[in-house]
Amino acid sequence: MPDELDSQKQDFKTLVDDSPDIIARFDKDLRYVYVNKTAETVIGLPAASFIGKTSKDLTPLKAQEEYWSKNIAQVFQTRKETVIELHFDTPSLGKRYFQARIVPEFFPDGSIPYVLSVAYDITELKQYEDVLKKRTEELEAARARDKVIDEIKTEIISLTSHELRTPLSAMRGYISMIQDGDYGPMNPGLKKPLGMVAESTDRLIHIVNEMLDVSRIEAGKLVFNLAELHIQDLIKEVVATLQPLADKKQVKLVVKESQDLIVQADKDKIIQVLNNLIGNSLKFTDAGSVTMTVDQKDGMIIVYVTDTGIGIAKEDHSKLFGKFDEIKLKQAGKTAGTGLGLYISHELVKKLGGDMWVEFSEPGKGSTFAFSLPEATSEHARRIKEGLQGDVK
Amino acid sequence: MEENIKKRILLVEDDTTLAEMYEKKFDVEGFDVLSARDGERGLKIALEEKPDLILLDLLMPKMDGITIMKKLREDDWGKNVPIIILTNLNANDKIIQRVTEDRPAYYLMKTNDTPSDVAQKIKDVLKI
Repeated sequence: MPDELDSQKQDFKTLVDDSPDIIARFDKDLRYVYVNKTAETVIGLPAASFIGKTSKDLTPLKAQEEYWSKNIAQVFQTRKETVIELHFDTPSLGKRYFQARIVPEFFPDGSIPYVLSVAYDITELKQYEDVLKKRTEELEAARARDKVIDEIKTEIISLTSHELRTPLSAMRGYISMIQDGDYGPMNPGLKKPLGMVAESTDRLIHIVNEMLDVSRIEAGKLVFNLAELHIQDLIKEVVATLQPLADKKQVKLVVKESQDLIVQADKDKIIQVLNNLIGNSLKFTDAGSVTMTVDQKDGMIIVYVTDTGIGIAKEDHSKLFGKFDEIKLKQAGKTAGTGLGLYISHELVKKLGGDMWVEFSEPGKGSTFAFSLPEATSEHARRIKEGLQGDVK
Repeated sequence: MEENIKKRILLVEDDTTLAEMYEKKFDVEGFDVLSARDGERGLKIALEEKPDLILLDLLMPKMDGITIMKKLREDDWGKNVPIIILTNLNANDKIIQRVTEDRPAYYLMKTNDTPSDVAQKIKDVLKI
């Protein structure tokens, strides 16, 4: 039996000695009573030189001796295990970091003659953590820089756009007065080119207005006038203003009759959204129709704008609501805008508690764009109203 | 419009190019046009000449349009004079909240409303 016990002890010792972790045992006076082979190798001292000493007596461990001893003493005192991190210089591997679990060894009578420490090398983990920390800091700094640049950009766009509006007002005003004959009869040969100048000026004004909208969206400076609106009436209002353009292109504008549905929204902004969607459909439809349908689902009112136009390839759908994406999506020389229209419309309906998406679009088969708005009496509408309180006039 | 019933309107606009444009248009439309190129002068002319209507820009040197409106509304004559705001500050801007208290007849955007539109609005307000 004693032989068997000795053999088991030997096996156990081998197991502990060969552990990749540093294993040490301390008595109540914080003196080492045992260290395994790994401790010898890592710390660079023979096991015998530990025994009967405290960390204070061992040069490689001096630097963190106080911290180390305090924690061992604490385990004796509280009778509870603890986990700590520490580091020291090793002779072969330089500075290494360890995580040590210090546990009390209870005897059957409840006393704690020893505590056991099992420390494993976390240097690599630490290095990853350090890299991660550094990268996170760099990322945060870059984000902060981007935010400042974005704010400056928004401010510049806003200022420039305001400044641009004065000369543009003069251009538009003088052109209209020449066309009105306020400066005398106009040479008939000038009628067409002046009309083109007028059209270009209007386009420029539209672009400047869109840029101002974007700068306002990005600076969070949009103001909302929430009201209960009959969506069908708004659609008809916008259709009436776009009718001359549709007639010119011989494209039919159809508003499907539906029950009287009331949304909570900002009238001017929804007119802007409808103008944008129906206007886009008209722009990209050379024959057929643009049809507006209204539906109702789960407290939301959904407006569909369906055209028989050129359609958009699936891979481009995701780009549609980004800034300046019309530029990327140039369709046979049809673009005349900044590509900001859908971005603005999307942002506006999102702010109003709705969403906007491509219901369907395929090249050659036309498109259906849709947007939703909260029904005026819905709980969602009430929450949006509360949420926009700061922005609502 | 007969000469003897010509309505007098005051244009307070700091941009010369725009001011000359509106002056011309209002003249063509038969109004008697008074003009001021800054806010202080605009208020002075308004109180001295008591025009039938004031067209007011908002961003101007010396005194902004909002201050002029406030001061006019404190005056016995000025409290009821029709004012049309003619600006390039977007009506969405929070500034409109401050403007509304002083009851402008219209808030017009220079880029959206042509001189002809503005003249029509003046006629609407003056019921001509």
